[in-house]
Amino acid sequence: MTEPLNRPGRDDADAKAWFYLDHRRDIEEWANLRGEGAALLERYLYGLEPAVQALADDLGADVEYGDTEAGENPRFGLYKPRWAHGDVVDVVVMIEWEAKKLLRGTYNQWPWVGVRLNGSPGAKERWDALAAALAPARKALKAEMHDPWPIWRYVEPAATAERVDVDALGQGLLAGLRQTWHVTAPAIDTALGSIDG
Amino acid sequence: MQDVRTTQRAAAGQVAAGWRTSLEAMRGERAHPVEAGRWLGGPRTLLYALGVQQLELKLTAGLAWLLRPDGHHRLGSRVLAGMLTELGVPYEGDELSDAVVVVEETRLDDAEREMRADLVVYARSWTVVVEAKVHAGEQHEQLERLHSLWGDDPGPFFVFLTRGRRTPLSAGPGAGDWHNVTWGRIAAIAREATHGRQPAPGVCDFIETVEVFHHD
Repeated sequence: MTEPLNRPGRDDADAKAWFYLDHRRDIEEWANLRGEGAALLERYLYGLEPAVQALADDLGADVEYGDTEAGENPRFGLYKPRWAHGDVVDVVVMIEWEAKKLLRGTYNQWPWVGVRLNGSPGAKERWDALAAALAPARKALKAEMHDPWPIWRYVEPAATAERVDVDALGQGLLAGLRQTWHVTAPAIDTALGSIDG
Repeated sequence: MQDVRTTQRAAAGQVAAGWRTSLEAMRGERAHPVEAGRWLGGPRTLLYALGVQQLELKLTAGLAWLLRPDGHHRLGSRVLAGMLTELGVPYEGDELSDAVVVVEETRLDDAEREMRADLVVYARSWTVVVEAKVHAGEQHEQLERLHSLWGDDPGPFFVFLTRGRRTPLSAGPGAGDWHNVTWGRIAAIAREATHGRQPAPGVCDFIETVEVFHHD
């Protein structure tokens, strides 16, 4: 005869835990859809490229790409040819994301807009100049600074949103790119102009 | 203290009850695609599974494969004919079967600088030069130099192949000779070419990859 198990009773205080145990198969199956969702979100992000091209035409900017084939940190964005360091386009106002982190629930689970300074000879001097010149923009846009981005901020769904509206997210990224361009481009002109003469 | 615990238990119970309702709704949403055989996961296409869906050179090679009139795609010259029609290139029937498709052809300019055309299709009375872009900008004077190096070939037509419509920036005075064609349009032409035929399976995978990742 089997002895009765001394298991915990169905106390409402354990309701969440019981819910998981009762429905674990569904919950785990659906949680594992995260990768599928991230791949679909990334397709939408790549799909913003023609709109960025159109924005460049509108703003009189050129378009620069990075990592779009290797896929670690795909990005595309806007720059002025006079920002180039010799032949190297190292300063770009861009949309960027980390492919392996999208929707993962930790840092970089959302794409971001900002200014990227790619490594190049003289990068330290250019970083210092940009970091200082973009301080007001960081404040205005409630943005942050972290090498190699002298200014950046996530674009993400509203905290209260139940679903990921990819169209709204895309529009937010494009609006964020435009806004970042307007706020930072004059400061970048000044900062780089003071170095390059 | 007892009241606080009671309140917390009641709240946890309410949350779980709400989840139970959501769970039932989600099960309902899932049921239909499962029954219809559409509850699918993983990479959408084989080319995506192979990780080449964003690679410009690989996709251009795929297009070149489709354009070859005697290729194993089993579409004959249908894709080539469709592209020529899209471009408005006048051609004679026998020119299609004799057309030669070359990928990544390099020529030297007067200054001995190498210039590479992504894809060139040669025929007796016309030449189609394709500069393909997936996620890349143009190099300085890129299209102008291509035009200069292939402009003396028979009946040259220059194609700027892009994701979505794009104005060429590096074409210089010959900008009017460049025809902007989108990858999405190429997929549509290839899709049209498969109608009534039994193409090699790779054809469908290539078309779907372009439709999914590079649509207009």
